[in-house]
Amino acid sequence: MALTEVRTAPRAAGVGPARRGSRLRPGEGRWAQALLVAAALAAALAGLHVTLQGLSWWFVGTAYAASVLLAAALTRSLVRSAFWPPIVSLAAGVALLTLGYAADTALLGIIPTPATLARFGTLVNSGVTSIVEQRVPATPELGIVLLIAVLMVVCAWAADLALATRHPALIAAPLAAILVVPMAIKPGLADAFWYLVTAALYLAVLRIGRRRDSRRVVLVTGGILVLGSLLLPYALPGVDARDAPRVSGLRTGLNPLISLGDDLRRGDPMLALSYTTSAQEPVYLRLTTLETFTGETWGPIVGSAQGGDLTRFPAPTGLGGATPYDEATVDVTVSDVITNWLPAPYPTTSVTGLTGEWFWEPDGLTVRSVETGARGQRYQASFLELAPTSAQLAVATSRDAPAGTLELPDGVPEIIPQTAHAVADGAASSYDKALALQTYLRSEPFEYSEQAPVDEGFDGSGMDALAVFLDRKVGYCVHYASAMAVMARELGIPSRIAVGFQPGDRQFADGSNVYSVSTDDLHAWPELYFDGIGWLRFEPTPGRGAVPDYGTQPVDDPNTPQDESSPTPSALPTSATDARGDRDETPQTPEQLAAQQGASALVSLGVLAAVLLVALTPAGFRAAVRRGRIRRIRQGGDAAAAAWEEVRDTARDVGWSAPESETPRTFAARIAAELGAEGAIGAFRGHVEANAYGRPDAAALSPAELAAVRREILRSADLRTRLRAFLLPPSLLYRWRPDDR
Amino acid sequence: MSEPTSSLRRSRSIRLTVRGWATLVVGVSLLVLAYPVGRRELLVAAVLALLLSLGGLLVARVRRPKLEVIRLFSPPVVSAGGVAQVTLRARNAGSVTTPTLLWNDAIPWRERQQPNELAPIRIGSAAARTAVLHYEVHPRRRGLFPIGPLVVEYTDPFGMARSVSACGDVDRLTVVPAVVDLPDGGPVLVDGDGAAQLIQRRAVGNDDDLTTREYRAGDALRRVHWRASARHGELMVRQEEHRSHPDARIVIDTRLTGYPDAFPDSESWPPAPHSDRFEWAVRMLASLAVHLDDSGFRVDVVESATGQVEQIGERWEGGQRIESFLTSLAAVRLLDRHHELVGASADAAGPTFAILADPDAEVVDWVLRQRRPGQSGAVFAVGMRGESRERFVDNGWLCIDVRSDDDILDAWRASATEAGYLRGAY
Repeated sequence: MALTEVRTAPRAAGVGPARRGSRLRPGEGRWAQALLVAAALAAALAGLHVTLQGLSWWFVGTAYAASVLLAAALTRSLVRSAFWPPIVSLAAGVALLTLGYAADTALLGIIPTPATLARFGTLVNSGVTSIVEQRVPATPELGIVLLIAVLMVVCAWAADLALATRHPALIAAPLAAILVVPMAIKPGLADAFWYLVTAALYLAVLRIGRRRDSRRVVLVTGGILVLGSLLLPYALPGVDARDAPRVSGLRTGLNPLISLGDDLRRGDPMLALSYTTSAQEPVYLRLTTLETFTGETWGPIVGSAQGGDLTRFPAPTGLGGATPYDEATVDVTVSDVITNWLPAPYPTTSVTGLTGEWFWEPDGLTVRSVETGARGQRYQASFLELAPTSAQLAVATSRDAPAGTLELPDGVPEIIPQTAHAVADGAASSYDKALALQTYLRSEPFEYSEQAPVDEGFDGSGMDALAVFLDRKVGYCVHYASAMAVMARELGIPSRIAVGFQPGDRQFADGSNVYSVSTDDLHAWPELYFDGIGWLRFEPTPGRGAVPDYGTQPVDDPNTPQDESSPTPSALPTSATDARGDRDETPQTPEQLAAQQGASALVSLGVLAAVLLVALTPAGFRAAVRRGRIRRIRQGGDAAAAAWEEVRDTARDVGWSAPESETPRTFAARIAAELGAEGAIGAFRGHVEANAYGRPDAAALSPAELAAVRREILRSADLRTRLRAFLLPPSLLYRWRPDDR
Repeated sequence: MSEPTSSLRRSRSIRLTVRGWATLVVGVSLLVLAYPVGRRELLVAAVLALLLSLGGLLVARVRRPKLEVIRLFSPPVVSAGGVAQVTLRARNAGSVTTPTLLWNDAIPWRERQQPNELAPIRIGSAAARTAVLHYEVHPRRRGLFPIGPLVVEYTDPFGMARSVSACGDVDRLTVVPAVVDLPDGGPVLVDGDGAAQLIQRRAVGNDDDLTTREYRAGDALRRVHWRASARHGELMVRQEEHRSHPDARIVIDTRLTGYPDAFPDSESWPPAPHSDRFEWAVRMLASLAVHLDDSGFRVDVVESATGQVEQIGERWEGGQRIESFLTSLAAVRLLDRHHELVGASADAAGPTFAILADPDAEVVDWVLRQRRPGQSGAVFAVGMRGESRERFVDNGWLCIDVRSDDDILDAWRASATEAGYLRGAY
């Protein structure tokens, strides 16, 4: 038994027989825990804001989650049984859902009946449908809000159960269930900020029932964990995004316009299809046409007639005998498009070589199937290459328009008709008006950008988005096509929107021109109707596609690519990090080139800074230690100890041994012998001793003296040692593991 | 004092908790899943889970405390059934403030012990670096017990990994048999032939009692009393009173064969056979020896196996002699190595006590020889078989039958009663 120390040490504050019980005493902090869990659920739900418009759904979802947690906590404070709180909270959740969404079908407004279930079924169905049909961010319709409320009730209940059974870590499951929603709807981390908040709150949940710990350690560890989880994936091999579209797909739903922007923004383009053609011009292959404008979006005419004979298509709408045309064929091989529409030129006269059940729709002459997909199909389509004459076009009117192609909803923003009339009122004929619109949209200051509308929140083809688009003058094909189509209708020209592929890259292979169309060539363009000619394609999107022959004009903007035989440059960016909006235009102006060079210089500077930062970390740590000691010297107290520790560490830095057992005197003598002369070290040692053992009013140590001693020691070493002492000070290692010496 | 073979010596472990394992598994599966599914969000979740578990492991390793522990017992020797206060002085020997820890001292017996929190110990001056912990132990049995090492446990802030480390040495707690204060009136003092004892006992107080006698051949010259020689005209030597106390002899059987109820037991350190009857015998031995010593006897403890008991020393050795006697009793154990039984010296007078369980015939013979002629003998028989008992009774011993769960005091009173019966007092 060691009996060496009999003097009782003064008790340090907080030290002693600490008899604090476990912090997981039942009831303790129950409300705080429930609040924490509610906050975590609310934060996870907030991550859905990228998929839904407005805030109402968030308040509703959070309220339901909070009610369930509140019911559980209340029950728990009233009843000791562990059995009832989950039952009561679930019942409360169901009752509130009934009250909120199907009160009239329920007994007393809260007790569900079979009618309530049926109502919920209908609502859920409508919610699912509107999720499928709407583009993100979607309007939170009743069905969607109900789905969110149900999700939150279930998740809150599960979270409360995890908390009650003292497995707070399991709360990860409900949180993940909420966070996964935007991920399932839309690839690309939905919102890093709300992920960060949720992860931080989850870490706080993990702290439930744990022992107190240094707040600094908890915060630093938590911060590293959360930020590291965001940053570290960049260091891992990238997720193979080539597979990503196969899961979510370049697949077109009922309305391909909805997801068109997302499909374009998704990185890593793939070969969608390739074709060869006998036509003079590259071919626009259409998937479908959208004729109905609801004000929110464009939609197809549902329920039009169908025909199954693919060798004999109906005559194109409105095409009169006076319009000259050439007959041409196109051989298409579809590789990676999952859609029920067949990419076909307009106007198609026949399609051969298809497998499966296909039929045409007479309005748009689109080819569709119910069960078979277009993927992997090889077929030949014959079509007409229209070449209306200028004279024809100059007198063309638009009187007998197909039904619905001139309708505009109420409340078109003022800017749309204003712009349309300002641009086109000078033109004489309908065709000139259309050309004026096209020229206006293709010219400066309109810019092509897939990202800007998303960043600024006007992505979409609705009226509100169009108003912002005309003001900001930046957007992509959906905006341009929709804007031209709506403005044409304002001017009395029937219009519709076609969705399909722009011509793609021409390659010369096997003696013929092969056009390869990538998924990035997905495109939307307006078609305008003229009596006697029918539907004519226009190309208002700057930098995309090819302007049709009849669409050119002598006074055309010189920037407009007129020669469609020149392929659009760099249509296939090699990396997803490219600025996607620029991919059709190599930087041409000196400013753009300078900006690009500046960016690469910035990147290399950043890398250099990072390397420097890592290299200087030990030195920084050592400097921090030194600063701490100098502060201790200035403050008095254990100045002597601090000063001598610093001298010891300096000696260790230059590779000398400095055992703790050595007194300052012997150590100083050793150093003096090593240095060859007793310089500052001797005087300093004297001061340290006086400070340590002398009267309290002994002269204070000055940091300047310490610096002098340090200089003396460092000067004795050669440059390499000094460099190492600066960059990788051995004293840090000693500090870390004093045993190793 | 530390035993190198003690299994607690090496323990310094860092383990993932169940939560940590689950998180790790989730992280790895998400990581594996992220590539075929092709979602970067899964990668983020996987990295968070992996960082949580592996980072927790790292934090538990980095923040594992380094403590130097000094353990003090108060009182240093405790009697069985008593309470000893254990004071631990934990000094932070690391270079950073320790985190809040759970601590627990390793005790060989089961004791209600709450795992306690140890508040952070800062680094700084020696006083600030040291935390003082207290707790109590309640040993129920005599023996030498290893106490320690101090086991401290740290769990990372998010409960993913736990580091357990044993700090400091193992210290030995000596638990002596509880001594029962026996009242006067045992079998000896009822004994009638007390004359010699009384004289001798008077001699106890008279250290300067001095007489002289004539020189006899063989007396040492330094014992010559010159003044008396001058007065008598012949050599006189100092006649020193033979100041020995009456000799009480306590015979105890420490042979394993004498205790049929013995079984191997590992609670004591090092492991030794345990027998309830033997424990009773040791308790009785302690109480009886202390009682006889108090009554003025010189107590001689005789063992049937190799001697383990330290004799209660001479009176001038002071109070510590009892303590060292009791301390030696703490370590007494049953032995199965026998040596030849030595015959008793029959020169001194005094009663003989035997504390036996079920000795074999050889030991019975030997015990019977221990009683000096004309002196009384009493045997405390803890479940002795009949024939042995008959022999003691036939030889005129006072035989007190006890069971191993009897109270010492009751047995002592019973012996007095028994002695009274024997003499027809009732």
